[in-house]
Amino acid sequence: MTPLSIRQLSAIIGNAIRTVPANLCVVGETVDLSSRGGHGYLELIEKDAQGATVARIRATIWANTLYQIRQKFWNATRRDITAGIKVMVTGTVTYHERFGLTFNITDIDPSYTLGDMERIRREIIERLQKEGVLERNKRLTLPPATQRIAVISAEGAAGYGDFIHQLQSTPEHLQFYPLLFPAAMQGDRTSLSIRQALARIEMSIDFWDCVVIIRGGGATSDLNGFDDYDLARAVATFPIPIIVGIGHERDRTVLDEIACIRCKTPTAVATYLIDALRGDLIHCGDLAASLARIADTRIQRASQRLTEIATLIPAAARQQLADAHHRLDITLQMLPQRASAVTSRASAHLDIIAQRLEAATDRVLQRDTQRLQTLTDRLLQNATLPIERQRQQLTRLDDMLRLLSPANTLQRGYSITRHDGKALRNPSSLPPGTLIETQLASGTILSRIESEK
Amino acid sequence: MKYSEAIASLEEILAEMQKPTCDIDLLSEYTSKAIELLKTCKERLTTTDEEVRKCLEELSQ
Repeated sequence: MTPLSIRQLSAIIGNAIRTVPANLCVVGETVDLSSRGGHGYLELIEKDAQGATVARIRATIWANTLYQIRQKFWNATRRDITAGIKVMVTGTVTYHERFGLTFNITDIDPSYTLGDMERIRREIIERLQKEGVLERNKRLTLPPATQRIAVISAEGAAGYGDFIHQLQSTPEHLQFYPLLFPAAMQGDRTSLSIRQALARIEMSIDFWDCVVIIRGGGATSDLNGFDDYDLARAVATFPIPIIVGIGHERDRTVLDEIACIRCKTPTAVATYLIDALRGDLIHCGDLAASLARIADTRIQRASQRLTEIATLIPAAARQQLADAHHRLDITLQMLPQRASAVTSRASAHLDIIAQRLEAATDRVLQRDTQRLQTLTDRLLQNATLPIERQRQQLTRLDDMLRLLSPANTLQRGYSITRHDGKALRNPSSLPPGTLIETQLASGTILSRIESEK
Repeated sequence: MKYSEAIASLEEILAEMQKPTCDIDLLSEYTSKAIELLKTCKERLTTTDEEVRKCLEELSQ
């Protein structure tokens, strides 16, 4: 058998390939995208459940359809056709002797990609929900006076420049302190790069009021990197509020669902921050106004009260005076009545006392009279008795006396000699010639002493 | 003092001043304290804080 030349082999393959139906609808995942001379080159692959590539085919999009296909895809998904996305495309397998086999794409159905992106986002969100962290960053609130802003963006990107410029040119000269933490904002490195920036911010976390993640690039940059579980988790669990400005009106990434605050563009983020700080400034102004009003009201009320009190004083004094008068009048009116009441009460009292006194006196008098009577009786009784006895004794004594009297003795012949009225018992005391008196029973003799015998 | 603390004590003072029991003798004290706090707050929002600037420079190095 004569060996075939390469051209001959290619012709055989070419013939075989031409039997493959044209305009086949194919689904696959894009890899290795590139563009040369206005044509788009890529590969479509199919993976198994473990993620291993099980089939691969080269694909091309010619320049004349590339623009329409990209535009169609962009309009529906707000994304460029990039590597790593699932696509549903229509095309025809072609074979070229020099360039080999390729699947020439002529149309794309973006709804398939949309559905797939949606599925990925949904899966991420469900997983975060299950882990209980989905709402964590959303529940945080921007602190008052949010000024210190850690910005994650691509260095030198237009979006970042707009953001900074806007923050620094408010008419009120509001102060912001932004610092850029550079990160790749598109391509495969997006997730890791942003997570690294977040880790750097976390090292000085106390310094920052919030984190802003803004997309640096132009309108056509791809957003696939943002729909990533690791990045979504890092944002959801970040300890301070994160504001994202990466999405678009019609296209939301997972980060838009889990960040504390979601804005459409970097400029919108700047506006949000400015409005918040302006709100604080207005609040200060309101407080100043309140302060003035409250102080004013206080003073007014105090002076009003003073006036009220001042006007009340004469009336109150008059009232007091009138009251006093009235009380006096009543007292005066009551006085006679009271006095007579007092007097009659006193007199009644006196009467009672007098009655008691009388009764007491009577009792005492009666008792004493009785006693006196008793005493008198006893006295009389006792008094007569001794007198009688005395008289009897006296009579007896009288009889005795009569028997013993000098007269009796004299009668019997005795005499009494006296000198100077004194009875003489001893003659020796008298000299002779002394006149002596001798009493006899029936007379007296005067004699002179002759001598003593 | 943190901004939020300053605002909180400012609002507290205002509430105190609004109470019917507010002593008129304390009014000027309250007012001057409130004005001081207000000044601090407004300055915080509109005037460059050199300390923060320095921190930023250190952080960006």
